[in-house]
Amino acid sequence: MGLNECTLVELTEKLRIGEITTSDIIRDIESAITQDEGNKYPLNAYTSFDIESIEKEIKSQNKKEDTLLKGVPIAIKDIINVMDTPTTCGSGILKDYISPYDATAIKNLRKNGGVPAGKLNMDEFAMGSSNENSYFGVVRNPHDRKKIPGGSSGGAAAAVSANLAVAALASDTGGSIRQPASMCGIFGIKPTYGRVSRFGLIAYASSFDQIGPITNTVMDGAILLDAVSGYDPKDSTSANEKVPCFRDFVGKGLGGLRIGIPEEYFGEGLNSEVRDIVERGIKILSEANASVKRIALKYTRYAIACYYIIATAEASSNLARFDGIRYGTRFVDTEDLETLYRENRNIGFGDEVKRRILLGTFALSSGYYDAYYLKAQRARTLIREDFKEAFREVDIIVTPVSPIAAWDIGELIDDPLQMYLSDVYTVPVNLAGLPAASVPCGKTKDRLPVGVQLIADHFNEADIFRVARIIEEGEKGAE
Amino acid sequence: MSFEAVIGLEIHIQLNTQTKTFCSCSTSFGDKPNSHTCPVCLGLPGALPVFNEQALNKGIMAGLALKCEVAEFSIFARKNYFYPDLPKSYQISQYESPLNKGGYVLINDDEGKKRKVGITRAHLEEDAGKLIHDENPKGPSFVDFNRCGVPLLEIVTEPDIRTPDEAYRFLQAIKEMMQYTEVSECNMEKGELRVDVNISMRNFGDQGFGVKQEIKNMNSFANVKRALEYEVKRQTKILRSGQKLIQQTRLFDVSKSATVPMRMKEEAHDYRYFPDPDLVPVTLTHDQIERIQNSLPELPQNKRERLKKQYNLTDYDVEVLCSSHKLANYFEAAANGYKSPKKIANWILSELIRVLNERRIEIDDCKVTPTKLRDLFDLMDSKVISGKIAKAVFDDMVESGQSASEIVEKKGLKQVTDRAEIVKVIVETIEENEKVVRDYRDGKKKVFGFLVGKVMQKTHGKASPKLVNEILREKLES
Amino acid sequence: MKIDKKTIQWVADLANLSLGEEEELEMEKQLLAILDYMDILSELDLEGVEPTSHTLGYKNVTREDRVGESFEINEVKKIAPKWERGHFVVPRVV
Repeated sequence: MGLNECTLVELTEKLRIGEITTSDIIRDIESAITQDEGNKYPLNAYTSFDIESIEKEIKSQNKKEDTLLKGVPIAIKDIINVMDTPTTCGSGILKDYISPYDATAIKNLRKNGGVPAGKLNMDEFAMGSSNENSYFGVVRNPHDRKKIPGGSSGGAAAAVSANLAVAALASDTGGSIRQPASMCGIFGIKPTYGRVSRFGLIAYASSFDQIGPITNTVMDGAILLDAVSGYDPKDSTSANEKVPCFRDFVGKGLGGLRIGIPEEYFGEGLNSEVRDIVERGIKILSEANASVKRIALKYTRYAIACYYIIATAEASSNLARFDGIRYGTRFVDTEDLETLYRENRNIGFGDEVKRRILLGTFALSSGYYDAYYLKAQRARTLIREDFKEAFREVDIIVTPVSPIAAWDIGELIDDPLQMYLSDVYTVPVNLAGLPAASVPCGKTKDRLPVGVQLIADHFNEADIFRVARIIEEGEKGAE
Repeated sequence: MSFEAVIGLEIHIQLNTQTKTFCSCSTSFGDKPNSHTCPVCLGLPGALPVFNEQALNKGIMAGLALKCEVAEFSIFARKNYFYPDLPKSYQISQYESPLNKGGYVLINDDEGKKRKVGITRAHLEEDAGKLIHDENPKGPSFVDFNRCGVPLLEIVTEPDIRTPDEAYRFLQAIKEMMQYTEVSECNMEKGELRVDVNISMRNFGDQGFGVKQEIKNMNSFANVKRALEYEVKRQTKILRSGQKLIQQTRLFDVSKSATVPMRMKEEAHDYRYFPDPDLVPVTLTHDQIERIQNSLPELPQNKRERLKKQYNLTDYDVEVLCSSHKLANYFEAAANGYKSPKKIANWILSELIRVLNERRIEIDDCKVTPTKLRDLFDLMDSKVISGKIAKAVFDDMVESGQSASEIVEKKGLKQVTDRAEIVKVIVETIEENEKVVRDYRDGKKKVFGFLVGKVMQKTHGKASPKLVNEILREKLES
Repeated sequence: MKIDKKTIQWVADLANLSLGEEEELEMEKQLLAILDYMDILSELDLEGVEPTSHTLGYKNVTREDRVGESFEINEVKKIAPKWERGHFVVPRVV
């Protein structure tokens, strides 16, 4: 078994006893990538994997013995700034951009002995649910290369699932960690908004964006989240709250947690195979003696509209800085300012990004602000309150991640609205700023993985890790 | 038909902080271009703002000085527009919930009567970078982001100003207030105070408003006044001729002493303000606001009235002394407990201001501290030196920074009060000027002054004038 | 909401995007469908509901006014697409 197939737990132990070095792991990863590139349909999971710069990273790594990660290489979604490394956000407008600074999450990762190794492909500026919107090309699903891996962290999910990375740091704005994790059959958690610093995470929608891990196991996810969490004075929206040691909760049992099942997440539009798999997950929990209760989240049907208005509004402003003046690629250099702006943005941005910028600009423009942006901000309050009420009765809400398993590449690309609607089960979590994970729970008859979503109240990630581990174990037993 | 002007101002004042509004880059002026930059103020992807607490404190103090209601809840918004000096393509400002609302400033109108100018709002925002243009008119422009992100307070007035002179006095009052409270140094050369004006004309007695002209970005009060004077004439002429004005944005061309229309592209303007999701609301309790209110230094108007009464000064004295809080504080430090403060005021208004002007220095840079000035006065009062010598000693103090007594000692300027010594010099003088002495004794009393001068010359000005007069008269009459 | 060609052009202007004619038509069609869907929010009674900007409701996050690290000029120069005499170079703006 190659080192690229090991878990974080196994690798840190091997590194601790000196059986292997970081370079050994990198070698195995590199050969796995090379092998994949020989495939008729390569996964295309990385935007860059530069051995030279990774060797440099290894040399400068934190070699103190007591670090958590002990030199394990972690692949990074290309939306997170890593100093002196290309940081493209999957966009043409940043295709040549080398970041001059480290994101706080990367600083924390380094401090804990992690080694940033390779940048992962993604939907441009994290806009997409299929990873078909990248300047660097489509990412494929390792379980069926004709299928999408999910998005926007498609590269991260595909790489971890196919052992082209041992673990990854990604980001989730409306489901971008959970949905690809579900579709690629691995674990992914979006922590509470504010848990991991956003400083250095390129903003798509600032009030939703959150960094989190994508890993092969629940324990690996807990370890990686332990490594990057914590208050950051450089992020005004960072949570100044105590961070529990998440890995301590993996395998701790249910501890009397109450499970809630919202009927709105099991209605029309949910694929029956997916429903069966999620219900199997619920069965695993009730067999573990969890109390399971039906609950209502009555504003769920408004979440997509609410999310896409606010997210695109914020995005239209966040992406205005990409104008070819201070950094990035100046595709066209003219003497006319207006032309310079327009040509560069036109060439630099892909269709989905332009669509969302237009939508968001519209939602904020005078005359429409009240009808769209403000209305959505109000609706957001109702959705948040909805969850608040639910968490009075239950500790963990269990739902599907996506209404369908991975679809064919190209299937929805011309129908943006249908694509948006596929985010129906993941966006409410971001609207409310809650933590949620996707845990593998089974496969469809076409052997496509399906995950189950676990949602907890603010800062209760520990409960998610307890429950996730039980599903992980139960699911393995079933296989 | 006669017209009156309706004038409103928008003033941008740089807050006196060490670091920028949302990052820890220095605000220091005149350094190498782009040397005070970081991911935040360059708007690099992924960078986030964190608000400077000192900018908040200064903003609150300014609001209180302007008699505004300080908001218990305020938020930052993004003002979205593209320009090369604006790295994020939005400016972080305050829109719906500004820090300060609804204040006023008292000024004298042209008849000398007190009048209130309403303050609509005074909110916080960040400055943009600086654009420099190539000498070649076809060449490019260059951007320096050192100034980008520096904290500003934008003060917006009600259209309450009626004449260019009033505008000038209002600006003076604002500047003094901001300096007194140390909210801003208001250094105009460094662009720390910039003014946009709105002016329209209407028939006397009308309540409505005419067509507004905006004149942007002036950094001298004199220019504001000249621009307004020009606009009053220009608009009056157009209206008299029966033509209509069109709303315009103009610039003041100093070389022509005229306003000219600003060249602007016809582009869509819609700033799409919305609350900045990267920043959280600022809330203040009533107690917090009150604490700052109590710590507010004395404001210019109050200081003028108090100094006038307490030290028995004239209107002119306090007007000049209080034009700068530093000068006023200097005066108080020197005059406090002194028997005739008016003398100190006179000295400051003549001698001190003279040397400051001659040397082009600020009061802070003057080596003669208030204590040292008091020492000089003590030497005069105890007759160790004469008033005339004192002026020379003062110049020396300014130059060397030494104390008055050190200089008097070193240069041997001590007044000669030894009677015997003075008698000796007078006897000598009488002997050497027989003819003049005879004239005096013949009744030509006015040559007395000439003889005094001779005696002073011989003593290099150090003889006590009082003693010289007394003894000389005695000798001549005898 | 009815969005037409003029609205698309106006919004594209504000966002500094220049769309080709074909692109414009396609966007119009798609945005129309999306905005139609957004009308679902009109079902809600939002009277008196406060808007949410921050889910956690944090307030008063400030930092001390103390000078920290800035870039070395060379680092700034490295990221600039066009750089001359210590400045970013842009098309002439006056």
